[in-house]
Amino acid sequence: MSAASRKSDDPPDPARLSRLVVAVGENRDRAAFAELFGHFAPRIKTYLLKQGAEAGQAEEMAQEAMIMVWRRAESFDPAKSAASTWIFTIARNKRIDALRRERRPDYDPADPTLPPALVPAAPAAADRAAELTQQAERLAEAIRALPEEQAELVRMAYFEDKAHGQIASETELPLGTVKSRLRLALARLRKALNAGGREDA
Amino acid sequence: MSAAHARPRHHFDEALLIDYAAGNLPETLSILVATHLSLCPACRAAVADAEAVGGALLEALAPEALAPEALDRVLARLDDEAPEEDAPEAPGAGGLPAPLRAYLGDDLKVLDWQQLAPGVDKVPLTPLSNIPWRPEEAVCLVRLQPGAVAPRHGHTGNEVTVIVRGGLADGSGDYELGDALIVDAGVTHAPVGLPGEPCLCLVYLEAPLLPIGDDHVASI
Ligand SMILES: [Zn+2]
Repeated sequence: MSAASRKSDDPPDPARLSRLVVAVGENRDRAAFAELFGHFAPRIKTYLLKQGAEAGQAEEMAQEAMIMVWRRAESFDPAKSAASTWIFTIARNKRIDALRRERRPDYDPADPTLPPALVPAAPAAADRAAELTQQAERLAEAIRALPEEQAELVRMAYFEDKAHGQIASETELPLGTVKSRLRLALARLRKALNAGGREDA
Repeated sequence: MSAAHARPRHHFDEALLIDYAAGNLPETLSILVATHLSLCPACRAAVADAEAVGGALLEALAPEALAPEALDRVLARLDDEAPEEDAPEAPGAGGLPAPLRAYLGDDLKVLDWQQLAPGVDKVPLTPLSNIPWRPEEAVCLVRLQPGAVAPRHGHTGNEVTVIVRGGLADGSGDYELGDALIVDAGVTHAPVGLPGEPCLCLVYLEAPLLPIGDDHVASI
């Protein structure tokens, strides 16, 4: 399968990754899936190893996460999130299920009980996918540029299953310092995300 | 959305929303965050951004090769029948947001309400679900009739409350639909139901409450 032979260390192209997930969702396109597998499965495996999975378990869970990608691809909306964001949430939920052995409560954007005033307007889909692609590129750059003291805490939060209270006790930093560094990091990254137009919350 | 009319007014802090997006919170506290998100567009946007950060971090990881036969094994499994997933609980008479319906159903009348004080009762989520509870933690749905006062109590850990209907007030202010009220260990308060419809709120306790004075409240 030639699509699978694309090297996994090629620079990622967010627009292409997004189209591949759509092709899987709409056409059950196995070549597109194989290309996604080549790119994401080894990164999901690294993610799971960092989170404390044993090698064999990380291998198995990465494969299962990719099967979830196949099954859920129809629900992927390229106007709502980048492919990497959507696949991150699948890998994260797989980890919570398999390593934490817990459920993952989440809100339902289509919940009919939501008060109408609290349902946000959908973004204009046409420009949104292109905008997301640029966002993904700006975000990657902003992450590389984070000051080390912030980057360190972001890595602990995202890769070590440590809530900010636990980070504070392990690093012996005051809780307020941990919170403010995480807040500063997110503010910088949100600025990169929203530089294309969306108003900051 | 103008700031004056923005609802809810009281939010979770960003560090906690990052924890939720990164998947670092216990299921208990996640129920509270998910319930607030059901009612708060601003925090939904913050979580979406924090998940985009997760995606970018995943993208930046050094790849760890899978076994050579991994892709073929997965391709061979793609057409396997998917295991049944839990269907989301359909809304019923109660009008509870989806994250709560998943644990309590949606008929408030059939729930096992336990009275805490006149006009104040609660339903624990604990025995109704399969959460691997950490023994010191508790989550319950509390109902306060208008003007009813919850017994004054202190806290040995954080207490987090999300208003699902109506409102309540304590010394720190008024809390209405969707608002999150976070009380640190050491603080004491006695929330009172606001006028109007009865207040329904979801309460998470990191550690047991301390009864104050004559009100012997082991836990709410
Ligand atoms: Zn909020």
